[in-house]
Amino acid sequence: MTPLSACNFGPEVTANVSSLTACATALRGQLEADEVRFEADESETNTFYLLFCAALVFLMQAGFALLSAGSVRMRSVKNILLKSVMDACFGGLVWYLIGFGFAYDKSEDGNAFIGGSGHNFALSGADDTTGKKDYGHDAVFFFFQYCFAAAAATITSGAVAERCTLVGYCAYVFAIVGFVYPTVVHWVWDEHGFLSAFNKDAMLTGMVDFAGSGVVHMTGGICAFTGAFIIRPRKGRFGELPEHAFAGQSASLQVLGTFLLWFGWYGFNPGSTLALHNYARDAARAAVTTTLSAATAATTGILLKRFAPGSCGGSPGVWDLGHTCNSLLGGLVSITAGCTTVEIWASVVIGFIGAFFYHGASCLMRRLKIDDPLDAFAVHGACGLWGCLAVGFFCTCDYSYTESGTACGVFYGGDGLLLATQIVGTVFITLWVGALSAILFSGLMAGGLLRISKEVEDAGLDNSKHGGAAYPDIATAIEEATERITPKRITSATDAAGA
Amino acid sequence: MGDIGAEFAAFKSDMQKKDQALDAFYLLVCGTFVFFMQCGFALLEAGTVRSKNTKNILLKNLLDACLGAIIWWAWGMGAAYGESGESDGNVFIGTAPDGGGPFLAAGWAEVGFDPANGKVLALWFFQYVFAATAATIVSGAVCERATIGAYIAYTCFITGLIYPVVVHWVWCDNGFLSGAFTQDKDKTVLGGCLDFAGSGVVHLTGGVAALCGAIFIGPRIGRFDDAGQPVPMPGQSTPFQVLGTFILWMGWYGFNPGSTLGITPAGYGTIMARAAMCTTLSAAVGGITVVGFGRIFSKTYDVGMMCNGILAGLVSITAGCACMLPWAAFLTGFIGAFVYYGASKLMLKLQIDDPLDAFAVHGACGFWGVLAVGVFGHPDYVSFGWNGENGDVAGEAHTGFLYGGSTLFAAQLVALIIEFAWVGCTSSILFFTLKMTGVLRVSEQTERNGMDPSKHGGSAYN
Repeated sequence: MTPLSACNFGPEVTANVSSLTACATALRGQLEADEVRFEADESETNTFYLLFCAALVFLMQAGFALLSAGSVRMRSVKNILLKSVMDACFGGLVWYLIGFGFAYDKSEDGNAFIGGSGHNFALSGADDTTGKKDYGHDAVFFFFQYCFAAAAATITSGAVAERCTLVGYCAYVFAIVGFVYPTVVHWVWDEHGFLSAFNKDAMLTGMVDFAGSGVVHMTGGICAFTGAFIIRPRKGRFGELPEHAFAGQSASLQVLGTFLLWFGWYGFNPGSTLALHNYARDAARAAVTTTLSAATAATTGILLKRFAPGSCGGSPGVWDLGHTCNSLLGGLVSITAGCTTVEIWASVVIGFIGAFFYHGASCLMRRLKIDDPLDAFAVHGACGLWGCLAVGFFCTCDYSYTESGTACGVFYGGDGLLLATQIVGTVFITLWVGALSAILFSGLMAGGLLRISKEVEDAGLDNSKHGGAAYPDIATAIEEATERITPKRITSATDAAGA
Repeated sequence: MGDIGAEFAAFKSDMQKKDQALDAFYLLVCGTFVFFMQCGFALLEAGTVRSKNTKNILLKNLLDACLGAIIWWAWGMGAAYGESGESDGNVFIGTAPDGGGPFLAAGWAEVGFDPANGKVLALWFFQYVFAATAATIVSGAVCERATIGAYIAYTCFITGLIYPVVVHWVWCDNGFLSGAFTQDKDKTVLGGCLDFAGSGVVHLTGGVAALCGAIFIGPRIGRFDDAGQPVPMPGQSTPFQVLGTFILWMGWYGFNPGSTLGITPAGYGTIMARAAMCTTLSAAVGGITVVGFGRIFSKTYDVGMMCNGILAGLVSITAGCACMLPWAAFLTGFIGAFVYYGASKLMLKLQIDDPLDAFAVHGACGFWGVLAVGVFGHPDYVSFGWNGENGDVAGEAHTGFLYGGSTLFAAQLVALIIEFAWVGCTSSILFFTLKMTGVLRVSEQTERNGMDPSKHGGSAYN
């Protein structure tokens, strides 16, 4: 390559055709080198971007752990925290070994139903070379998808909290992360999936579910529903014991958890662009829509609970913190499918309606006497469904990304095909996840592997299985106070004689 | 040979797009960190109140983040930045350009692919999290006795009017107090003030509104005995206070460095890094000074006070983190600690009950923070924050007092007085109205029982 000094026209280098040509050649060479460097820059920045967003999504594990810890009774705190930790760890292994491979295969002619080429099992197909095309993309993509899978798995734990065995828990994490969830991911997010917006030959228009209202939240939420239904309520939940006996042990932890989840959602939604360059606009839009949907849902939720009559699930006179937190999360779930494809004002409407979906579903669960301690189905299942449907109404033509041709929402002149696809997609997800989780949980229940025994439930999971209370000082104080006010029970003849 | 000229042009255009994408990402990262401060403040407040009011204060923190977002979208961003970019905008408040502009994000429907607009959205997000910070400060001064209705009212008023107007004055290119953005210096007062990340705009605003709230709402029952002496009311959880403080500190690394509003222009990396370094030093010194000073005078190592000392240091450096030398940041935090300590004791002396010391930390130290720029603003660095027409850079008079400048200090002081007057008057009217309509404070019974059982369905802890 001729050095750029070839362009130094002066006393030594006179401008003639041959020297000008040499200069032009030098310039071209320099430009090509710059372009190569520029592409490398972009690739490396894209990797960093996804890494940062994935770290935020990972922090949502902490958020959900604390939300769960705050929502259960004091006797089960260690248990639910352990399950949260295990879900991140065991789920990580399962996702690495089989889940990621079922979700995304790298072959040219992939299966429409499930990743079958085996390229990504145990990350065998990961490209770690420093050749031009990768810059860590495969590895960071795996990490990002792992964080999503862990999120889907942890949703279910909230619905079966306080009465699920560890064995049962491991079984469902394995099933969900290893099979149920990755197939759904493959359908909607892999370019070969039959529901995928990235597939030219997809069913109808291909489903638009940007960050996973359907893929992640409906999957988790429906699993939560079947789990809560089959495992049956906590002892005394509907009848013998009053409502407030099941109040969460710490509202502070609930709020901390909620804020951490909201914070992490700024990785969940914007990060789903999967790259920064050429997508910064979409990522920024996602941050704004995510904010407004959460804000509107929470504001709507608190007013709904306060002013709705008791017959419609309201608590007149009460500003309900727990309900507000869950409405907020419902708003986040509702915008997840359409965060980049709707206009800003639409995210306010989506959050508003999401609050009603949450409230309605929560009431329904109580009416059906299904005990869901974290309201996991109402927040993730019901609002996940709304999130998918909302896209069918509010997706603008400019922001739509379906490969088979621009599919617009009904309010933007669309012919309804996108809405139909969203409906069809949610039906597929519901039936698939519902059926498989029902089989799984029924099998576990029949084998006596799902629910803890009555004795353990009475004594409390922490005391029975985890070596003692989560708050030993408080437990001791309660014990001492109880002993003082409760007369000693006579348990045997010897005692009676002695007393 | 091909068209090299066209190729260069295309390359340059690609570079510009890349730069804009990176700037948008930078704003998103920093904005997310500032958003996390909502969580930090929630925990700090929860830890500082008594457990019977836990749910109440947490709910207020959630509502402030949520209501603030809606108001900022509908109205606040517009009132702050309405005609930004136009030379004939109003100097007092943002107005709506054709198409609506930032109001309801109406003017932001992008046609075609223009990555520049990603930055507009990212800027909205960044400014929203700042607005939420300003509003939430007030809750600390009126906690444990303010009604939810009053809270909703003042959040709307602060985020919708009081705060965005101050933002417009100091951070918009039409504002009459903006040293950094208003090009036509004739429109400004003394050339405008320099408030990099908002000691004045955010913290003084929040702190003065907090002071007004605390004065009008009156002390908590039993806070001052008959002799006027304060009765201790310890918070329910020191771990929450410390966790909250650390989260706030961490969030400040988005608050201060992120106020460069970009990373790609030449030299911005250095400014960002300087901001991070100064922030660190001021926070550290603030904390150590308060705990040390407290140990000398009250014989205890007071954790809660140290937390506030850290925050005092952070607030103090917020205005000048980009334009001081590190040793100056050290002094800023050191002096800020005394400003905080003095203000805190003064409030007790005046029998004003401010449970989180919101005025002392944010109001008083915010005031000092803006003045500190006038003292320590370094000639080489002040020019980043001071923009004149025709490349007119900050003259010698427009540097810190220690470097021979005078105008800058005067401009800072005048700006502070105007901000103080604006916030003081508007929030006084607000709180006075709420008080007169009986909406401001809960009943005595509710206050004694605690807000959680009375208003939120039960205790926070079961």
